[in-house]
Formats: sequence, structure tokens, C-alpha cells
Amino acid sequence: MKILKGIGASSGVAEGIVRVVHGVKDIERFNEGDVLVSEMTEPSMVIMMNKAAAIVTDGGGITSHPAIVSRELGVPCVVNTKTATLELRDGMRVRVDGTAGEVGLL
Amino acid sequence: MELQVKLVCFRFMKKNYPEWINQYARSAHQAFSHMVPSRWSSLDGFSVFRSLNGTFIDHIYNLLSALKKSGVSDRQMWNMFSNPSSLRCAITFLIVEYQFITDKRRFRDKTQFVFSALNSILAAGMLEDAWVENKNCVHTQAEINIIIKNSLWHGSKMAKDAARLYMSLASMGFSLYRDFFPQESHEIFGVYDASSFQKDSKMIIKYFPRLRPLEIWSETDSFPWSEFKIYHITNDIGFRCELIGMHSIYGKAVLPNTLAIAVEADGKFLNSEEIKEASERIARFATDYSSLSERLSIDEFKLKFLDWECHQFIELFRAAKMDWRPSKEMKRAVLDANIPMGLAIDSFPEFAEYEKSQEYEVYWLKELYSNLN
Repeated sequence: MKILKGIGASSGVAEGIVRVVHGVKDIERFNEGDVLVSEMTEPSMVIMMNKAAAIVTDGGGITSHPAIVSRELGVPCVVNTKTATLELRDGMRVRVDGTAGEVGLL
Repeated sequence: MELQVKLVCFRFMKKNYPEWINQYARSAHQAFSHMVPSRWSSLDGFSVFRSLNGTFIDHIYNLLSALKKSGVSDRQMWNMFSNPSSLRCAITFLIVEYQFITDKRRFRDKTQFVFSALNSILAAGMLEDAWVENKNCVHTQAEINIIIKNSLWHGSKMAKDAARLYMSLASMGFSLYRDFFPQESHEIFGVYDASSFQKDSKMIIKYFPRLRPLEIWSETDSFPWSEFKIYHITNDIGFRCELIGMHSIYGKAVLPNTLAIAVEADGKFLNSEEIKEASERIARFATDYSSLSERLSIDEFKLKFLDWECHQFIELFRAAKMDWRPSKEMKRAVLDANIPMGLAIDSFPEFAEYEKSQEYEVYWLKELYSNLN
């Protein structure tokens, strides 16, 4: 079920558990293969981004920080969803389609 | 009023402003359009540029005048910048400062001198496309062939590890220079022809200088490296970049099209284990350093922002035997101003409106070379 639409910033599809993160304090609860959801990525999230199966943000264009690094890492990324951090909750299982720019609930 | 507008348009049509302004306009529009909608959490840099009111332009005018008088060449000055994107961004920030100067007439000559000098320096180093409408190339083909011949290459199975290292280094720069100055330590060059490695292949160079800026953060004393280069050979994946070189865009996926990777840290090529180890260590440093600017009060952040602005020119200040730090006039202008934390830009106009509207800097840049004032 599609619940969010944004800009597809890094192509590919991945599924995983949502972790809404705000900064370095979230490192301990972030697991390899989780879907990183944030308003906008920050440098303090680097360790989590390196573990993420996909990245979803509220803001950002195609050359924003999450978009650039996702393309290098080869993980799907959807930016500019506007409401990801409001509509997605920790523990939800989602499918991130970085080509279509969509996030769906599984 | 209508007559006045027509006259202004007519006068613009007749003005002979330098060609780099058209290149800048196209390139800056592309870059800003691709960044929005933007959310920046640190100090609102555009408010800082607005509040400077000519004080930084004055500082850079004194610097460039001194260097010109001493006979320092454009090429020598080119080598004193961290990388070309740092120089392009420095010019861009000065353009925005000029846009908001209250007494433009007073700064007209100095500003023209500064922009002319900085564009000459940029032209002295860029092989083509100085404002990067498509490519960001400073290496000759002969230099690329030497890099290909002399580097320690790893196969495509190291692509993911190199990507993680890239991520760690990019975050390191973001931690040290925050939202407006990460290009100080993060540049991407290319795209280059790598056919001496493999037929039809391409090379991109990811460059991370100034990773230990002790003048800005004494805390970086414990960081083990000053500079990284990641040489990345791929199939043709439609790479292009922008005014800010790190703003990379690919037509195809990077990892499955990677052919080879080489990593050089402070002049030494790393083996595969060293690449993995460096990636993890730098990620931890980047995480720790991310708190450096979070600890700053608003006034401390304003002053740090000015340090970052001047640090772009630090090697030039040293060559001129001048203090690299912000002038007291700059500090006063910024400390007295109301500058918020955080900035959001939700939309950006089409090119035709951007180029002509007084809301944006290109209008004022063209006006600088007209006789309207």
C-alpha cells in the first residue's frame, strides 16, 4: 500500500523496518538493514546511513546530502516526502522504491 | 513606472557585462533548483551574507590587491584554494553579499575588482566549463593516464567499501564545515576518459582536502589524515556534476558499473583492509565532530561562520602575510544582526524569472556592470 510520494533520488527497491532518527542518540537502536527515516540527514547519522537498506527524508532535492550519498552507496532513497517522519513509525515494515519515489507499507 | 521598466530592460540589453555572469547564472540556477526543497539546520548563512554589507568584500579586496601588487600570478593563487568548488562558492557568497549592500555605489569599483580577479583565478585553473554546467575537469589527459598507470587498483568487489569510505569522508566534511562550507573538504572532479585502463571506461576523482583544519577546530588535532583521494573507474554511467562539484548526478547505478577503485590517503595508496579500517574510523570521527558546532551559542556560531568564510582564502592571506581571520568590521556587522538558526527553501523559480528578478543575485550582478546607479 503506497503511503508516501516524494522524489526518487537513488534508484532501486528495498524493504526493511522503519527507524525514525534524529541524531547520534539513535545509533544504539539502529540495526543493519533498517530503513532510515529523518527530516533531513545530518553528519551525526553517518554510522546509521552506512547500515541502512534505504533512506527516506521529509525534505531535500536530488543533490541534497541523503540523495548524493545514497547514490554512492547504492541504496534506494526517496527525498521530499514532506511527511515521512509524521506518517512512518518505528517498527513499521516498508518498501522503498527509489526509482518511483514511493514508500509503501507492507 | 512602465516606461521606467522598459528603460531598465533596454539599458540592460545594451550593457556589456562579462560573459562569466551568463555562465554563473545558468550554473547557479541549475544548482539551486536541484537542491530545493532544502532544509538546513545550522546558522542561516544567507542572513549572514546579507548582514555583511560589504565588509567581507572589503576584506577580500585588500587581500587580492596586496597579492596583485606583490606579483602573485593567477595560477599561483589558484593553487592556494582548497579546490575549484571552494573558489566558486566563495565567489557566489560574495555575489550574494553584494546583492544586499545598502550603498552599492561605494562598493562598485572594489566589487568589480574582486569579481574580475577571482574569475581570472578560476579561469587559470579550469580546463573548460569554469562554472561547471556539466563537468569539473582540472586534470589533463596526460595526468589522468599517469594516475591510471601509477595507482594501486582494487577490483569491483571493493566498490561497496569505497562507497562507505566516501560516505564517511563526506560526513566528516559536513561535520567540520557544516551546511554552507562542506565543499572546503569535498570535491568531485570529472568526468575523465579512462580508456587507457579499459576501453570506453570513465574516471571520477573524489577529493577530500582540509580534513584537519586546526585553525577552525583545534579538536581535529587527533584526526589521523589531512587528505584523501578516491579514484573511481566506471563504465559510462552518465556522470555530471554542478557548481558545487560534490553535487554529483549519475544516469546509471554506480556500484554495478564500478570497474576499479584506488584510495590515496596523504600520498599513500591503501590496501583493502586499510580502506575498510579507515572508513570505520572516519565514521566515528565524523560522528564525534558533528557535536562541535552543536555546542556553539548563536553568537559563537556567527563568528565561526565568519571563520569559515575567511578560511576559504587562508592560503592567500598567508601568502600576503595578512591575518586570515575575519575583520572587526565583519564581526560587528554580523553580531549586530538578527540571524536565525535553520533555513528552509521550498521552491526556486524558472530560469527566466531567476535571471531577471531583483529578488535574486543575477539581476544585481548585471547591474554592477551597468550605469544605473
